[in-house]
Amino acid sequence: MLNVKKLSKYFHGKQVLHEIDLEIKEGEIVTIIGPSGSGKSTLLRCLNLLEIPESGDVFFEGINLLDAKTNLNEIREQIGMVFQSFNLFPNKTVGENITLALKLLKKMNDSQANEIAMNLLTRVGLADKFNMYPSKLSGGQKQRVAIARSLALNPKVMLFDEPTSALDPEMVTEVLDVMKELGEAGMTMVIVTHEMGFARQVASRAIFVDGGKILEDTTPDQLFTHPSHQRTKEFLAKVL
Amino acid sequence: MFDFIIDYYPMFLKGTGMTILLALLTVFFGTLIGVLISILRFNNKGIIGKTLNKLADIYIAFFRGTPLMIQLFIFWFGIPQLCGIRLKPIGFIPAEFIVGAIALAINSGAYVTEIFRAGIQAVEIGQMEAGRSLGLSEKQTLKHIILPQAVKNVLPALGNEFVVIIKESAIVSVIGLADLMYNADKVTAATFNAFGVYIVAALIYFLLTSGCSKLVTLFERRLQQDA
Repeated sequence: MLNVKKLSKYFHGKQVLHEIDLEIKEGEIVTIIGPSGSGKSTLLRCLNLLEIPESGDVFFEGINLLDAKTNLNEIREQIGMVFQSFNLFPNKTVGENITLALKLLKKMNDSQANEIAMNLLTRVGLADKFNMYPSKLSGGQKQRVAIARSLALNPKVMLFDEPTSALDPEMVTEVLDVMKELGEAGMTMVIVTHEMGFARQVASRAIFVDGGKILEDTTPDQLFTHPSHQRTKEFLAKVL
Repeated sequence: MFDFIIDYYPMFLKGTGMTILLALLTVFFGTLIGVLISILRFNNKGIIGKTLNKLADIYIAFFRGTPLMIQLFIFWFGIPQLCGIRLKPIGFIPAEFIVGAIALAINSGAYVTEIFRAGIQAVEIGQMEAGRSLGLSEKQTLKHIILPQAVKNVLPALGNEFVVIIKESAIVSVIGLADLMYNADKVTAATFNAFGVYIVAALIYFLLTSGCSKLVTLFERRLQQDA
């Protein structure tokens, strides 16, 4: 579904990703773990070209995202993204946050869009917040709305960039539960996370990134119990 | 000390009316210029985009970096001389008013452009990323997400700019436009009561600026309630 080939990315002349190769198949739940500054978030952000790599290619269902002829907006409709800092639109209600893309891109009328938004909000347990502004919500609720928003266009894959890192500890579970249900429903997901328990429980595949390179790419069990790399062992010793 | 008011209050009223009219026109056209240039600036690709952006930079730098009085003299004396024209009133609108309003609006436009630039930059980068990741184009994200937030951000600074315009508009008295300042000068010349006259003029300016501040605050609160 997603295919990354020899991807390199530089920030201010410093190389943060080194010729990464990565393939994500339909139905997989891939977690990417690694120390801060390892390049894991950058890698994720390259998958929908929020970061433009200096070299290499990114394919979505065989289409090269870096090809000038590719309609990137159409591709992005099919790739949902959830951010660490939620990035809800503060000038719009919860309902409007979800319906905006439906109305603008799918040309839906109010009642069609609202119905979809309501269904999604029900799915994440926030149907009663439809008319509220994001500023009135807790962090966990905001992130669940953000998930609902990115589900609105019915994406084929969801990218999560440290979705629980900005949350108070007691709100982490409600977000992880929603993500877990998504995975059980068959959603393909790529998750950058520091939640090792979640990575181990829910993921079908675990990737360890350090220094801009993929050091391990295996099952969560293997990664957490028998890491093959010294750097992985050191990292796990610190976080577990 | 203030008994001149009985004889001269029509002068103060007329001058105040002129100052208000001038300020309103300046605010309107200054904001219009500022908004248009801010939108134009988003397109910084290609030769045309880059050239327009450069021109906008020069415009802002010049009008914020030189005294308003010099700008006014360039419009009032310099340009007519250069072009060999004599400024004439249009209908019943005096030439002083037209030139004064144009100079003030162009000057204010430079400040408003900067205010909008700051307001747009203050919208978190994540908002653009969220819009783009949903598949919205840059234009759609700007229109529906960034600009509405930017407008809210700029209101305090914009309100302050309105207050500044009311005060700075007094400079047009030097080209003979009969605003509050100009008429105050005339009353002073007639009464030799510089202290009393200028205190009254100052009080009127103060009422105008504080009234304007209050209106802006009210408007801001109204907007805050919406979000």
